[in-house]
This record gives sequence, structure tokens and C-alpha cells, in this order.
Amino acid sequence: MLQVDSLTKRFGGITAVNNVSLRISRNEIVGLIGPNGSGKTTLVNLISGFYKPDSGRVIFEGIDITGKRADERVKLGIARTFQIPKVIGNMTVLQNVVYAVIGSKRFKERKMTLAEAGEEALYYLDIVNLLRKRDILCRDLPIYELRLLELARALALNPKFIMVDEAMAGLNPTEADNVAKLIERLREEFNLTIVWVEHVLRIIMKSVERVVVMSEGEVIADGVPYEIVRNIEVIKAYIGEEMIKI
Amino acid sequence: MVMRFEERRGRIIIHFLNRWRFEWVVEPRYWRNPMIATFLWICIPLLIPFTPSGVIGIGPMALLSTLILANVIAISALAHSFQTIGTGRVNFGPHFFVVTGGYVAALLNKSYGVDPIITFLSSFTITALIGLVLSPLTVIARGIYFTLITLILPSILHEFTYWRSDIFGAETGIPGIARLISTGSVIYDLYIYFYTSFIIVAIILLVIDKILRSRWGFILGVINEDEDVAISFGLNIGRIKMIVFTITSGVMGISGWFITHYYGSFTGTVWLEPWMLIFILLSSVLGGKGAIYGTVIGAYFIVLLREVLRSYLRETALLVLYIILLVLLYLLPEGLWGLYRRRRYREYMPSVRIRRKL
Amino acid sequence: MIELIYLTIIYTFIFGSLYLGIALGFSIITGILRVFHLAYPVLFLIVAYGTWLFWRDLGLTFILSIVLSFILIIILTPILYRFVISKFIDAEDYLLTALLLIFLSTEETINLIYPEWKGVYLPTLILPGTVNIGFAAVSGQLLITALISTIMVFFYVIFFVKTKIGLIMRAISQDYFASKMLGINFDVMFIIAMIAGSIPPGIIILLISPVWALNPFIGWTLFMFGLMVSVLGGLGNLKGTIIAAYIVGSIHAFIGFLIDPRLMNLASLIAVVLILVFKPKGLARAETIW
Repeated sequence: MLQVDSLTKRFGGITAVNNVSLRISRNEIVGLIGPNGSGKTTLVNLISGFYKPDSGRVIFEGIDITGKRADERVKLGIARTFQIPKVIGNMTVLQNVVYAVIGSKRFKERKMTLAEAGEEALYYLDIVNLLRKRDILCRDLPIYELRLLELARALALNPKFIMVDEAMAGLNPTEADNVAKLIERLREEFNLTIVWVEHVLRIIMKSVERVVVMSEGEVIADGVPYEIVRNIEVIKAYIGEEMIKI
Repeated sequence: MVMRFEERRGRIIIHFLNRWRFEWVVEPRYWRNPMIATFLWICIPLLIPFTPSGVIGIGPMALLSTLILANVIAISALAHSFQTIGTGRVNFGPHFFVVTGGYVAALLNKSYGVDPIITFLSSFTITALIGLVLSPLTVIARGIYFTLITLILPSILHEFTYWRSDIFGAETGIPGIARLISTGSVIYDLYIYFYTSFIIVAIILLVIDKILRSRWGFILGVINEDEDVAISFGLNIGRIKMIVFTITSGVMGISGWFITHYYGSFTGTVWLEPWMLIFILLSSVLGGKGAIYGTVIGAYFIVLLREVLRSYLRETALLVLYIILLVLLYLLPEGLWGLYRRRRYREYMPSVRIRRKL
Repeated sequence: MIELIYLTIIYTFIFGSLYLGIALGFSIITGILRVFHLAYPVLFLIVAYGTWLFWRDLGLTFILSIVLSFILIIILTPILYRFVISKFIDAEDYLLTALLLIFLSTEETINLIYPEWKGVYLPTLILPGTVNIGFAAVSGQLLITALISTIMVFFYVIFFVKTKIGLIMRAISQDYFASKMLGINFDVMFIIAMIAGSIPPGIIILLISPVWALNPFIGWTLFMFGLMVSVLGGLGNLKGTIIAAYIVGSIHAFIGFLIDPRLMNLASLIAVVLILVFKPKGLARAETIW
């Protein structure tokens, strides 16, 4: 479904993403892990269109989307969440999701009214279990609920492909577990393909089928979770070479 | 069936020829205050001739002229407010567009004898075209740069009119332009001008209100709050900003058109001076952000205040005006509209928010 | 013809240096505070008319009057900073409007007290008449202004590059938040920066007053030149400002001497806007003061 060919992105003197190539198949749930600064979020930004690559291509469902703007990619079915939740603080939870519905293709196709958009937003809020909080202003929400909101919003766009960027950061174990279960459920119910960028290894290893490991802008490993944790390169990247010798 | 009405969740939805639909929010309590205000707005000017000694030192005819000027400023201020909401940038050169509209109307009428109705369309179109040419700036130039570039625009026009003063008449302007109406009685003329400009303001107000309450209002709100979020919703914000900028520029040109056909002459250099910028800016700033009705109130307030000061203070009037406005900036952070609204969070209206991102 | 070319070249230097002197203070203030100081033109007015006030109305000596007017600025700067800039720092449009109103109020006050017909002038003529350079006769006073302006800029650059305070200011201009962690007292730094930026315009207005008739509206006129140059150079970047000043100077000289003097301003304004369309952040490549 998604193919990334030799993507490179430089910022000044730093090469954040270096010649990365990747293939993601339909309905896969892939974990993208790596130490800080390895280029995970940059890769997400490149795929979703918020950054333009210096070289390489991004191909989605057979179409070369490298030149397409971010909003065009959304219309093609690519959605993402943000590491630091980007919500409109001054609006309620419901309103935030309504916008996402308005922006989706179905809104225009079915010529929905604002009222219908509102009803659909309620549906998505229900799925992520935020229904009871729908009239609360977003700036008053704790991080856990902000992350649920981000997921609801991504869902409201009717995507085929979602990139979840560090959904676990700042959550306690129970909340993290809930989010993990939710993401798994979403994949089943909505037939999604998911790329899950994450730091918290414990949970992601249980939920994904395949793991891609990045370090210093390059992909250093790609396989099933069982193999990855035993991969010497991966351990080196996370802990550092000196520790291996010990 | 040509039109079908449907009522759903407090909204009337009008289906037109089974293809288009209009949505109108119908909630009675929202209607009461605006109805009263509009009624007063229409009727109070009619009482003016019955105050022979003048209100606060201003004679009836001067008062009507002042109200007409207030409407003129309101037209540009409304356009400016909406432009700020829709593009997320503050334009510090609205008077550039006003004067452009004015010169277009003046030159077309003077040199080719074109009818005011046609000059109306021309003013709007040509000013909008210039707006279109400049509109990519709303996308390329970040906040402060946009403000600065627009600040320079009036100077460019100023220089241009002086360079070709043969066409533009430099400081004396372009005289001898057909006026919109001439009934022979000054007071009737003034009334007609007032209600004409009033209708223009009212239409613009209604249109903007409708837009802000619709899904476009939602979209503009998102763009204003966080452009990245808007993009992640699949909105083509570049195109939206450019459209908003183009059309609102055209509306500012309408202000200029009216000035030309009201005074019967057009002296652009007068309107290019900083006071015009202040009047337009402060109408929205003092009127209250996020509420376009406040912009109209702000326009009226500033213009009337200046007139009052002028009749009492003469020379020092402008200075005192500036100082009062400055003081009000401090005292009324929510603007005049804020005094009315008292923070009741009823419906989200996109408000003007300029981020400090240099 | 050769005379015109000589004049063009020399006046490129003269205009460029003059505009640089005008824009210098604005660039510094904008670069370090990251605030678009719309009240900057008052500095020209305070020095010019303040000196006149102290000198003619209060009978003090000329030099003392000049010094006092600068001291007046130094006193007013922290007040402006504390009550206007700090207050509205988060609401950019309020800030800009407030600054613009302050400028307009000052301009109007001066217009009321010293309208143009009163003939305010400052006897700061250093080099009267014209000076012959090669084939061209150049205004002596403007030449001196250009030279002094260039020296002034030179000293400011040295200040930013070599001194400790200059280094701190460069850091602040580059990364506000990172600098905050270094424990710098921002308010003090900002005020120092504002005062540093207020001196060049004062010196410039003093020098050009014999050749450029003083009137209350001269503040805005000069400001437009400074604004053009600053915006073209990249807000708050000194290198860019220097380059931009000479670009604008060369356009003015070229158009003024070789094409049509009436087109000077228009040509440079249009050129600036055009360049900005392609490089909206100005010519500078980095967002820092140097």
C-alpha cells in the first residue's frame, strides 16, 4: 500500500532521514521504533506531507504522491496524529472532531450539513470513549484524553492509512494499555493500515506484527518483534556500543 | 419541486431544486438583540432633523455626513476584519485598496463618463484583481513580513500618484465626478447617501455573519487557530486564504467607490494618510475581536468621537483622539463588544489571533 | 554624461550610507526584541525638536541641548518598554496599533507646537557647499553624513561581534528560549538594545537637518526609507540591512541621476516589493542580528 523509496531529508547540516526505503502492505500494523533523534517523526512528516524530501519518492496505492501537498494526501486517505497533540484549545472536543469530519471527502461527496457532521462526530467520539466529554474545552483535557481525541479526529477523516506518532508518551500503564487496545481494535473494525511510531517498547511489541527500527536516520532492522529484540544492531543503537561489550 | 423546507435541530434547511441547500440557524433568542439594534440603527438617523441645535455641538447636516463617513469606514473595517480572520494576517495597508477603488471609479467616470453602477463593478473587480496578484503573500510571507509589506503599499500608491500627477491630480485630486444622487435638497441627498451606505454595510454584515456561522466559519476558525491542524484535516489553506484576501480587497475598493461618488471628487492622497489606517484598524480592534458587529460599532464610535472632538477642540482634536484611542486600547482589551458580550461562551466564532512568530 | 555616472556611483555610497544609518537602529531593535517598533520614527522627532526646545525655548547651549534630548530618549525608553511593549507582547496587532498611535500622537503634538511655518532648524552644518570628487560636485554635508554613518555602523558591528554584551544580544536574537535558560536578565538587555538602537537615528537627523528641511512629518518619511531597507535586508539582520541599504541607495542614485528623479522613490519601493515576493524573509539567510 505504501512504498517509500530512498527518502532523504536534511536540515542544515543534519541528515534526519538518510536514504530510507520501506514497504508497508495493506492492513499491516507496523511499529516504527528507534532512539531519540533517529528520524521517526521526520519520516512521518515526510509521508504525511508536512515536509518535502530532498530526494526520494513516496508512493501510495500506486500513485506517486511525492509532489502532493499535505491536504491532498489527507484526501487520498493518509491520516496522522501528532506527537504533541495539536488540538484547538478554545473549542470543545466535539467541535474539534466536527472539523475533521468537515474536512473529509465524505462531507463533500454526500453534501452533509453541519448537523449531520455533528452526528458523525459523536459516533467517532463514542468509539474512542470520549462521548461524555464532548462539551469540554480541549485546553482543559488531560493528556490521555487528548490522545484519544487525536485518534478520533484521525478516524473522522475516513483514512485508509494512519500514522500514530508516539501515542503513549506521558500516559500511565493503564492508559497506555487502553490506547494500545483501541488502536488494535481500530485496525480490525475499520480495515486500516497502521504505522505506529513509539518509544514504549513493552506495549508496542505486543500489538504489532512487524517492527521497523531506525537509528540516526537509517533503517537498521525490519522484522517480527521476536527477532528484533534479539537483534544486536538494535540493542547497540538503544544502549550504545560500550554496553554491549559488558 | 423548486424549494423544500426542512427543520432539523433548530436549523431551517432550504433545499433548492433538489441540488443546493441553505442552512439557517433559527433560534429565537439569538434574534432578539440584533433585531432591536438594527431597528434603532435604521430609525435614529431619522430623528436628527428634530434636534435643531445639534447634538453635542454638531449640527444635523454635519451629523449625517459623519454617519455616512462612519458607514464608509465600516465597509472597509468589516472587510479588513474578515480578511484577518480568513488569512490569519493583519493587513496594514487597507487604505491602499480603498484608494485604488476610489481612483478607478473617479477616472472611469471622469474620463469616459461611465455610470456609477458600472464604476461600482469596476472598482470591485479591479481592486480584487490587484488583491489577487498580491494574495500569494498571505501564503508565502509569515505574519510580520506580511504586515510590513502591506504597510509599504500605500506609500507606493502615493509615490505613483505624485509621479503621474497629471492623471491623478496629486493633492487636489480628481474633481467633477457624477454624484450618486442629486435631489436638489441637501438634507434629502444626505439621507439617501446614508441609507445607501447603510444598505451596503448591512449586506456585508449579513454575508459575513452567514459565512462565519456556516461550515466555512468553522474552517476559518481552524485555520486561524492552528494552520497545521487545518492542513491535517485536508483543507487547502493556501487557496482559502487567497480567495478571502482577493474578495475582501475588492470590498475595500467599494469603500473608495462610494467616497468618489459621494463627494463628487476624489483626493486619494488624503485617504492614504496614516489616520485612515488607524480608523480602519481600530474599528476592529476597539470594536472587539471575533465579533464583526463590534467592528461596525467601533467604526461609528471612532468617527463620531473625532467629530465631537473637532467641534469642541478644533486644532488639538486629532491629538486628543489619538490619546483617547490609546487609552482605550488599555482599558478595553475585549473591545467595546466585550462590554456587551460578558464572556458568554455560546457559539464559537473565529476570532482574530495573531501569533507571535517572528 | 561622465559626470552623471560619477554622481551615480558616489551617491550610491551616500544614499546607501544614509539609509543604513536610518535603518540601523530599527534593525537592531527589531532584531533583538523581535518587535516591529512602529514608534521608531519618534526618535527622529524627539532629537530634532527636543534639541530645538532646549536650545531656543529654554536658552541652553546647543551642545547641551543635543545631549539633553538624547537623555530624554534614554529616560523614555524604559517607560515605553515597560508600559507598552511588555504589556502587549502577546497580542501583536494591539502592540503595533499602540506603537503607531504613540508615534502619531507625538507627531501631532509636535505639529501643534512647532508647525512647519515656524522654521525649526538645527545649525549642524559641518561641511558647507559642495565638494569636488573627480568630475562631480557633491553636497558636502551629505558626504559627511555618509562618512559618519559608515563609521557608526562599523562601531556597532564591532560591538556585536567583539563585546560580551553584543554576544549576549546576538544569542537573544537567535534563540529567545535558549537564551532564557542562560539566566540573562532580558528586560535589562532589551532596554539596552532599545537605547543602543535609538542613538543612530538621532545622529542622522542632526546631521541631515541643514540639507533636509525639518518638518514634523519628516519622521515618517525617513522611517519609510528605514523600513524598506530593514525589510529588504531581513528583519533584524545587520548584514542584510547593510547590503539592502546599498541596493536601495544604488537604485535611487541610478534612477535619480540617469532616468527621472521623480521616479526614485517609486522605483525603489517597487524593487523592494518584487524582491520580497521571491525572498519574503528578505536577503538575510539567518534569523539573527549578525
